[in-house]
Amino acid sequence: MFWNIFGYRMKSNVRDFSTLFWTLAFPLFLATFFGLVFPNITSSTVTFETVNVGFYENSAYGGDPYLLESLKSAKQSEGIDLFHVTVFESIEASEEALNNQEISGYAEVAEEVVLHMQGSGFNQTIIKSFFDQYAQISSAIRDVARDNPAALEEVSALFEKEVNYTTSTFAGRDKPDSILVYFYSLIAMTCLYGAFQGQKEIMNIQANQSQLAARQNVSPVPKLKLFGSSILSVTLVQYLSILILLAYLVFVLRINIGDRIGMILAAAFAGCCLGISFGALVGAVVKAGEGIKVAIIISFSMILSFLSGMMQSSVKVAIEKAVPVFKYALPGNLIANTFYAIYYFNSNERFYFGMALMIGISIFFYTIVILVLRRQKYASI
Amino acid sequence: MVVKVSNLVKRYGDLIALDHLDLEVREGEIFGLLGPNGSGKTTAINCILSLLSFDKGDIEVFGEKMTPSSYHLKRDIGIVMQNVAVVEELTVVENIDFFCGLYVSDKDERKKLVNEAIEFVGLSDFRKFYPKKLSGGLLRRLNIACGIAHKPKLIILDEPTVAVDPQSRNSILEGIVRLNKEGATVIYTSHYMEEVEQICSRICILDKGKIIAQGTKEELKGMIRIGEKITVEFLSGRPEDAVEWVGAMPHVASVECKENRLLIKTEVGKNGLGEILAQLKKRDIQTGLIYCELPTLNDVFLEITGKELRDL
Repeated sequence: MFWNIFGYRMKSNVRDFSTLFWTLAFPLFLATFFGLVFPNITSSTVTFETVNVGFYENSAYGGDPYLLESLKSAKQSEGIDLFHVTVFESIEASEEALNNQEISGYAEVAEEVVLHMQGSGFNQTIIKSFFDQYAQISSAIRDVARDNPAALEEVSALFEKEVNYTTSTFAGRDKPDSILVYFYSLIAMTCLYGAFQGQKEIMNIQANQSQLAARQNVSPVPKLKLFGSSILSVTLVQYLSILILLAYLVFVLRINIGDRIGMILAAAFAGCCLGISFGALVGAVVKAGEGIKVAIIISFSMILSFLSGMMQSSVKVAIEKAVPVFKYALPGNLIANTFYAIYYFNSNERFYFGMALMIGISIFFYTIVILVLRRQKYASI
Repeated sequence: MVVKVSNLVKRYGDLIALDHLDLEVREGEIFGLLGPNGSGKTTAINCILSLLSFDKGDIEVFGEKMTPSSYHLKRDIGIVMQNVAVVEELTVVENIDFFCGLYVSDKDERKKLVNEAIEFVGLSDFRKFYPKKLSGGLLRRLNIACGIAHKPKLIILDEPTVAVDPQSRNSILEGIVRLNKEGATVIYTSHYMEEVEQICSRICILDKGKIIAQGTKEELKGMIRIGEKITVEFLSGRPEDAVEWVGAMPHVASVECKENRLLIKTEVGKNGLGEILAQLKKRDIQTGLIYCELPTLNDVFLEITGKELRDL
């Protein structure tokens, strides 16, 4: 009997296109929209590439024997040079290359080092910063060499150390990516949209909510059996929707959500349970018509998605900074954070904590629903 | 006794929906619950099914107290609700199988029962149709099939013919009689007195949550003083002028004038038609249509409550 109800609830849920629109079509549409918009945002931001810089040394002067070497050895990160240096034989050749935008700037080394740059921008800023810092350090070393030659070796080591301090180190499992927050919050929203399914299933169990529920209530099937089979079927259908969304993100939009598939699937399932149980709770506890319940679910889902960074990723950071407990208390943030933990952190601690919270909250919600359903007697239908 | 309701009281706030209701439905009968909209028929059914809580009284089904968890009793009850209760996303055959599956676990047995139910309600040509593609009449038939497929001992039909075309209505009523002949006890609620009169062996008339009359249709009609109703169409003369002398005739219970017609009600056991025709001829009044009717349940309702059932 349980599996017969389960089977037909599965069929019914798969064919319910109005609910599937919200739980599948709408997230796919948003994912496509994000996929179209975010690459443009990424491309419009400045990417840190090796800067083409020119070098011309006027042989009439003594020059700086260390400058060219410093320019060539400067690194933006391990294995990647900060500058690509072209040494010019004449000032005219340097100017021509600058005008042709082959280089972002060049250094003319004569009595002093003079920087020639065209326009202003990220590359020009980097060049200027480098030369400013070089001038500062070389001046300091000259002063030490003049005043206290014995300390020269120690000072040089200090500057060397400073360079090491500024080398970026990466502690995470994968590169941090703020764009991913949008996609994770989208997955969180899809999980939360399972609330529509949860609410609908509860409506089909409570005799005062629908004719179908009244009809099922006069059958010899205990209410909890109806509840169990319905919730199981709706969980599977909703989980399938999320898997389709994940597949779409990974295979069609080429979003890198990480490679720990087992954990991703587990988090998706827990998120799905959280969303459905939330809808079931609204369905059971709120004493109002279906329209009001759906409005509550839409409002909550959208607000929670907003707070989890779907519309603006900085909102998530700001909210969690202002009220740290929201990282775990807001279902949208909880789901998105769990996904991000899988992607970013080497340690599984955050993932397990997120999973435990999602499952715990779902069980808590379902317990309330069962208590409400069990106690419920209908004064009117 | 299949159903026994004793002293049932159900209130909605200040409104008394069922006022000390006493009912007994016997095995093998078609029991009619007749009453205008809002008289408490559906409330009574929902209380019997333990869907609704009630303030006072006792309900027994198959000799046992009925509670929401009386699953062994519910197994033998089939219900056809007033509003169609089917799953929109399932086809005709899937819907019947789904509801039958709530009662019958064995797949092979269920398949047989589903096919029989489809044949019974005449939906063989619509097996793969979704409910929204069915007409109102066919939808009602599907609703019935979902309620009776598991071959229950007690079938409760709550206004199953509302908004149904005459052809489907006749088909439904014939089906109910067939189910009864096959051994099912039926409780049939309606505000259509003709239907109740046509198929029910015993009838209970409800008004404002109270039983105003109960018995076989003959017993009910025996409760009133009207024997027959005579309608005379006047082609000459004014029927208003005839009201006085017809009213003065012996055995005439009441006279009423409607347009060019005279509506005469005679007392029980007295046939006044011959006398009236003789008087009309004597007064040179030319008449058109003349017909006699036996009293209906509407007359019973009218005489007891002072209002017409069909007007409510």
